[in-house]
Amino acid sequence: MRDPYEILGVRKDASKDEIRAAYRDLVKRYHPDKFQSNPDMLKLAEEKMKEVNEAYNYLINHADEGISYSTDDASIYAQVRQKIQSGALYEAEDLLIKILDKSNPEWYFLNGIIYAQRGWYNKAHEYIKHAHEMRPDNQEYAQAYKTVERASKSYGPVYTGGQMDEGTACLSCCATLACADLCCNCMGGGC
Amino acid sequence: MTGYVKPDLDELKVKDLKLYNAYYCGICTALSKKYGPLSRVLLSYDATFIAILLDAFSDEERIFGKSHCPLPPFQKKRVVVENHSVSFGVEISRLSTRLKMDDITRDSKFFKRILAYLAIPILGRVDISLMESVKPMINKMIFFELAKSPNPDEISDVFGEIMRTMAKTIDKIQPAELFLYLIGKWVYLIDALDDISNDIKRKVYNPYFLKYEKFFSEDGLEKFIAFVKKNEEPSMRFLISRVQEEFSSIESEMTKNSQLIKNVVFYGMPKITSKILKCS
Repeated sequence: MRDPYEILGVRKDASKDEIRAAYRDLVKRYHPDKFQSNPDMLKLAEEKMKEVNEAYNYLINHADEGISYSTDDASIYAQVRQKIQSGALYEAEDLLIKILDKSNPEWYFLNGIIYAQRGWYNKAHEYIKHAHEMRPDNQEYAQAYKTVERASKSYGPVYTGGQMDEGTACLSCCATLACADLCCNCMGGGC
Repeated sequence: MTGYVKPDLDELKVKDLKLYNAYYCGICTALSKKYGPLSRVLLSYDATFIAILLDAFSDEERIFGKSHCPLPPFQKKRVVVENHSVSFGVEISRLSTRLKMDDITRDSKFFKRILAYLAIPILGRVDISLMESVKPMINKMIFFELAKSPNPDEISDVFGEIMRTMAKTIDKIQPAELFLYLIGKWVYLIDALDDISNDIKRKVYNPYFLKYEKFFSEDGLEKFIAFVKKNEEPSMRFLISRVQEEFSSIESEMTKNSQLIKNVVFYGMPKITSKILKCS
């Protein structure tokens, strides 16, 4: 299953009410009854509804699960970092969804990195910014935030005589830079 | 002339400007030869870009010739003599503009672009199986429009995939698959942003309008559009930086035209994005 939060179009710290409202909105748009006249459209609608239902059920049930302990969280974050580094984004995401304690800026930061890798840059910016604001003294978050900010501000003529200038070179996907940082700071072994 | 994917002429070296014109006039000439002089009006910038990109990866010899321009000052122009890339540009120009006409009657935005890039069995180089592989994607886009999907990323992703699928079947252009995907995505999104005002007035599907619908009020149209554009600016800029990054990674595989394409990616596209994001 794709990321259920993306499917419903809600933020990862959405309340149950927000999840329900998003679900209802999507049901109104994609309900198969609206597409009875065309078999191709009907099939697509049914597939989309199935996807939306799966996402909704997962999120609503997940919200009822018990409390996770902070020590478990630390090891989950370590695993998430490893997964991101090896490119297993979906697995990294699946792990992050398990975390219930969203007061940790690490949760926002890692989500931001995953979004950046996926190309959802608006969300990447949002989450990394939040992580940085929650813990301004963390160098990793600060660095990633700087990269993200720079990337979202400069795309103008930075090419000079065929050489990549510093701005563009650093631009190469904020996630790559952030992952380079990850490598240096990673908790699960490495440098 | 229609199109979003074009160079910033001011920033081109003179030799690249001449090269761009040679392709542009080359396609115009080939259009006239194949479909009659009136078909020259069908020429589009996007089609020219695709022809230039195709030729960048092609081993086919490129020959320059001369042709008369029917527009003032009626000069003799230097053209790229018709080869596979130019022919492809011709077909895309024709489709793209014919569908612009259809767009007015069909009231459906994406048709304007979608079949423009759909590879049909032309030149004998494109598989007929491509039609089959792209049809489900076209259906998906139609579905999203009918369902009024409020997710621009979702629907532009499908359009990008269509571009990518097209790239898969054209000989030698495989390294540019992701590049074309990203360009396709950008074209769809920038088109949606550009047309948002008209789409709201004509009550035509626009994913950005639907995404921000709850902020919309009938008498605050300009403010609404400015709000939408301001919010979407970071995403568009990131997308462009991704396009630029991808270009840098395939640049070494281009046998020609790389400076021209570089200009489009580093000057042309950002300029157009800036322009569209600033005006209401």
